[in-house]
Amino acid sequence: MNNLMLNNNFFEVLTKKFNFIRKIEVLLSVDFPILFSFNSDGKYFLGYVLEFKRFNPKLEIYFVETTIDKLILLLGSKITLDEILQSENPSCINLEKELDVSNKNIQNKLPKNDFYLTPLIPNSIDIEKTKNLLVASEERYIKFIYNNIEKRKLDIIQNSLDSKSIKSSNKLIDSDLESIELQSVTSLESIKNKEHLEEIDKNIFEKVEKKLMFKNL
Amino acid sequence: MTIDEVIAKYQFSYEDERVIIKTDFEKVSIYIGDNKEKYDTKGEQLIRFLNPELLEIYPVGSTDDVIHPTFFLPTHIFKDFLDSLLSQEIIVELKKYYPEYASDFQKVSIENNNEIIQNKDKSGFATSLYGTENATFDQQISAAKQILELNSMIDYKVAIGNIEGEVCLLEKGKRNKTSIPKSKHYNLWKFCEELSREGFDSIASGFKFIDCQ
Repeated sequence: MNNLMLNNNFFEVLTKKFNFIRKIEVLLSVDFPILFSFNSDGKYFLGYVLEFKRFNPKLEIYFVETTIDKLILLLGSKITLDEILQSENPSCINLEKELDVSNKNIQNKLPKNDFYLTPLIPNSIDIEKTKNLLVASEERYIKFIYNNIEKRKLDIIQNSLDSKSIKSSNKLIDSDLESIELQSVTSLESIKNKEHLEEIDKNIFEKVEKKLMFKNL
Repeated sequence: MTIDEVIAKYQFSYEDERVIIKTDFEKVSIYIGDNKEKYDTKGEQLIRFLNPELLEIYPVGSTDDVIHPTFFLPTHIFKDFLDSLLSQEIIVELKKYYPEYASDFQKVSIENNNEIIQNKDKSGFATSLYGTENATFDQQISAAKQILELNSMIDYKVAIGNIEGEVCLLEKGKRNKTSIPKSKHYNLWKFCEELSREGFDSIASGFKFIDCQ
């Protein structure tokens, strides 16, 4: 499946810049991989091959940080390749060194702004299958956060029950917990709400916990 | 020809739902399972992307040009072939595919590979072709043009043709039950010459260059 494995040059370029490379997914491959995603140090990246020659080895890859959500949109032909490559922190590496991405020569090698990765584009990768794999992985992640939220919510309720000032504090805490519940339940319905879930997990709980701590003093 | 007919004709071994076919270069184990319909010896309107580095040696520019059989060598052999030219060597088993200027190069031999290529690795030992489903010829060519606009593919050319006869096994990418126009990837393994009595020229002769510029 993963024909990046067949070519050492790709790894040579990848390991120049990225650590702990895992979850490599080729998204477009015709004779050689043109587009692929991978995870490095917990972040997702997209690699787009600007040039590749076997005979006199040449390899130039353009990288951007990305998210699974964006990759799913790309594989569903909802956004163009150009849109996903427009990122604040692009980089470009060849077999020798890191290149200046602002260089006009590099910019001219990026795809036109109307290129969609459609099912009709010749591709040895089944993009529908790859998209489904990414969606499943995303859903697992969302369930993990959701379960975490549920667990923390129970902890808070338990804590507030133990509190001496429970009567006076409960109303405020209840309204916060209610909002968490409402938001988390709706969030499970769609992966689009992932960021919202993450925000609850990181920020709102902090707010509730602080409030509870204050009431318990 | 169905996979069952292929197995019977060439007397390939078939055990645990896996067939072991004999190509010109090695034996390849292919898991058939319940997917017998994915396999055939014939295919229509298939695209082969012509490698630009080989086009420098065997140029193609008009629809009347003969496509050189080297363009159809399987992925791993094609790589060995280009590597050998770079190091000014001739792989004796591939002698007939070299251009005349290489006749003085030092001769080397492919290491004899007696290992059976496993199902998970089979694609790296095949020739890649692209067909379509639910798409017109124009849609197919238009999609190929879009690929050729990507910078890394810009020097590639396209040949389109049919696979006929009983000289190879074609494996078609999994079937989807939708009406959306789709590209389909095909793996092609040519049966060894000893069995098929045909070289890669018989595959190449079914293809014509299409000007996508």
